[in-house]
Amino acid sequence: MKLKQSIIKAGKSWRQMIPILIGVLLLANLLNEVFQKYYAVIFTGNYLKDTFIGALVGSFSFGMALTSYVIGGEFLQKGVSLLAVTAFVMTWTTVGIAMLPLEAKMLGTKFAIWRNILNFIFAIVISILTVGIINF
Amino acid sequence: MNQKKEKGNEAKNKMSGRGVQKFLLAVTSVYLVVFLVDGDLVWRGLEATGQTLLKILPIILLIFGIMVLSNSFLTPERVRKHFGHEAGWKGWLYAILFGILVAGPPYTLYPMLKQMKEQGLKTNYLAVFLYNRNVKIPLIPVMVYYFGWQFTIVMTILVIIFSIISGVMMEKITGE
Repeated sequence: MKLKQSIIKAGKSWRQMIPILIGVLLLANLLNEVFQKYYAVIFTGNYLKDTFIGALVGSFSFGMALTSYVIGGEFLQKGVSLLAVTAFVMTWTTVGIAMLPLEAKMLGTKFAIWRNILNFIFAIVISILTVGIINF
Repeated sequence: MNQKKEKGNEAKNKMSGRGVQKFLLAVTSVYLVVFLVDGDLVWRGLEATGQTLLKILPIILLIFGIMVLSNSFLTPERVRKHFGHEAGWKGWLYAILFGILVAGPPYTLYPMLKQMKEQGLKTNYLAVFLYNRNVKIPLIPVMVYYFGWQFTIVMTILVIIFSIISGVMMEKITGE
């Protein structure tokens, strides 16, 4: 493919994506601002419930993986279980509820929905296995 | 036949264009409603969005460059060879390495992945690639600092194993 054609083709993909990306970022950042207020009080102290809550909060949050480590570290210092923090860190990068419209448009609705469902379940399984193995 | 297909694509694009408009209208409505309740929250949301866009701009430009290059050199035959039905175990390995080594938030990679999918990238490799976004070599020291060596090693190995399970299951579910 010639260079000009290559640029046009790449440009078309981004032209489709940019408006959705801006919309999704606006929505995700608003959600993030709301969630951040409740991060510290959202956990209950119950292992199972907290793992689910950690996975859920991580699914709705988004940003650099580094941020999830820093927040996860703070959670640990505040007494949140490692199980819940691991689930939170895992879903932060592998599940993207806020980015779902974008993923569905680009990679297909069925793919996006099922990938996020599976990754949510796997995040909880990986958390249990990780904590189980290092405590063995 | 081709004309019919083109007309179909045009109609589909118009439909998705309307969908995007509706989505943006919904986001604007959410912001307007929140503004009435908590104006400060809206400004913080807008500021954070601006900062995120500035942060990802260099990555977007980089991915755009990669897409232009891959359009020029990566033929559908090559994609099918390395990430298609004939790729075999090498396809899994490339998808894992590609997922670990490529930088940037996953959403900045969607256009490139869409393009590769159209060229023959299999669903299972796509799922494996996206799952391994969780293993970031430059961030390993940070993870070790917060969670320890043992945790980092165990979690990294489990992520790679589960990325393959995710790929197998996604292939079965989507039937692609």
